[in-house]
Amino acid sequence: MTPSSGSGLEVRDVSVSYGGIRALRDISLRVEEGEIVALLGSNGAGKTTTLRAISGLVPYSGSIVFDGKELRKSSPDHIVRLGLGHAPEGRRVFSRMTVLENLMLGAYTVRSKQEIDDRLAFVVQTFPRLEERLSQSAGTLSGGEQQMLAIGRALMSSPRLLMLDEPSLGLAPIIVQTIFSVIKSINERGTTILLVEQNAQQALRIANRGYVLETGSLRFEGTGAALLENPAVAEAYLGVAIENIK
Amino acid sequence: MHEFLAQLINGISLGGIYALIALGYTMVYGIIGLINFAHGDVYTLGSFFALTILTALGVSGELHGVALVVDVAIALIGAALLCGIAGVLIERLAYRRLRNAPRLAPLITAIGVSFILENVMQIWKGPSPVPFPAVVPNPSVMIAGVAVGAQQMLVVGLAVVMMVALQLFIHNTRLGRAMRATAQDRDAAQLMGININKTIMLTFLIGSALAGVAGFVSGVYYQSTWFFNGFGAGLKAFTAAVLGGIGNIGGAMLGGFLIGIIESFATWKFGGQWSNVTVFAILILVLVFRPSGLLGEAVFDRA
Repeated sequence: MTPSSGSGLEVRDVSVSYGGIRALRDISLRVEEGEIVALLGSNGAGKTTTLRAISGLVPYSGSIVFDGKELRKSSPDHIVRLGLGHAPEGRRVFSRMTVLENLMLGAYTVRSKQEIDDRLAFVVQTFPRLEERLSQSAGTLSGGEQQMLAIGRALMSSPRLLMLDEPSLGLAPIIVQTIFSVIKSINERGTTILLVEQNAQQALRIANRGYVLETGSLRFEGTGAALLENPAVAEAYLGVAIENIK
Repeated sequence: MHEFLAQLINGISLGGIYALIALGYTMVYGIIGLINFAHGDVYTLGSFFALTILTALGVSGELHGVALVVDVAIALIGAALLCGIAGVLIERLAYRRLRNAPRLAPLITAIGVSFILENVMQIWKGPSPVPFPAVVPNPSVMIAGVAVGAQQMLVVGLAVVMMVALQLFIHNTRLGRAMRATAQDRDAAQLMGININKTIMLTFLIGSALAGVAGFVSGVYYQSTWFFNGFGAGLKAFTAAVLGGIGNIGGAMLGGFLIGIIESFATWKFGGQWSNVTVFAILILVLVFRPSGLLGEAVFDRA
């Protein structure tokens, strides 16, 4: 959307502890402008913690640089203003507000009325289902619709990098297909994507590159195709991931 | 019947004051989950600020015409503004550091802030009740055979105007939406780009300003104030917030008026010494059968 500014993300030696327990240990990863990067791993591997650190929601040691700016001293709201969108784990829609209010909150950092209208038009075009439900309270939506709302809400701020935390979790297979194809098309329209998933097969199929986390440390990294073919990854994660879908 | 109506009008006036205070309790609880026990004392602070402003303006008795409107407006807005600032300072100095501490820590701190405010006010205006000038003339209008005083109408009118304005603000503005979002899910609100420190500050500003309005109004209504008033009034207003469903703004208003009416009727029927017993007995009954309060839904659905 804003071609002149970069959307590259570099995470360097990041560690996070929760009350003495190390949740992340010296994680380093990068997301280049225009890529889809998948971050995989089983429950408790530290995927969500990584995204929360990038968004400034948990303190960490190490360094996270987005678009050439160090984020460590920045507050979460400032990080959003820099162009980083985050659709969090569990959707976290504002269930007692309407769909429209949720989307307007997504555009909280946008001051121009015209731009808000444009973003809204883009989001309802991406998720036509939401348009029918604009005045409905978000808590009454189905799981799939809530996920669409969570992604749509994050898109309202026109992020240059969008982080998605398990967008397919708990959704029917047909909805999962829709969500993944939308992610692909959002990326094709210029948004860089960092995708956290347990559904490793699906994620690696649309990702340029991927990282695999295990108990807080990076285990594997490589292109989507290479990780899909890596027998160790397949045995340890793809199998597990397929089990989890059922 | 005549007495019934008279007591009802008394109760509604009293309830307007409780409702204004209850809003601050419920807003702060809604946004940071804290029962701000110092809030009742901010209400007393409001009457002290109003009294000081009126004294500075040289007002000592009934006002008329332009002077009435101007001086009342200055005292009212001044008290609201100063209370708002006091609330923001309290949040900044006493509560913010404890935001992620176990819930008991800020609660105890709130009680401590309450003691500090009471002691400061005791030093400021002395240990005895202080007269408050009867600035607003009190002609009465006969409604259904009952005399309704101008002061009562002022109390209820101001309370209703404030509540309507608050509702409009919360539901129709960008900042109001940010406040509701922060109350529902703080992390998700931050991911929208909302600065939660500013939002919480705004909540304290508005809640405390409403307590300031209540403080001014109660001074006009009772023509007296006392450093310790906020303890009892705060407890009743807190009860009102719980009765209506704490965290719920409409509930605080409803609860405030209900508590005022119940108290007024209890005083009439059973005598003043029974009014608190009746109020709290009804609170207990409501909580037994509707633990989340009259209008409270699943307020505690934080993910």
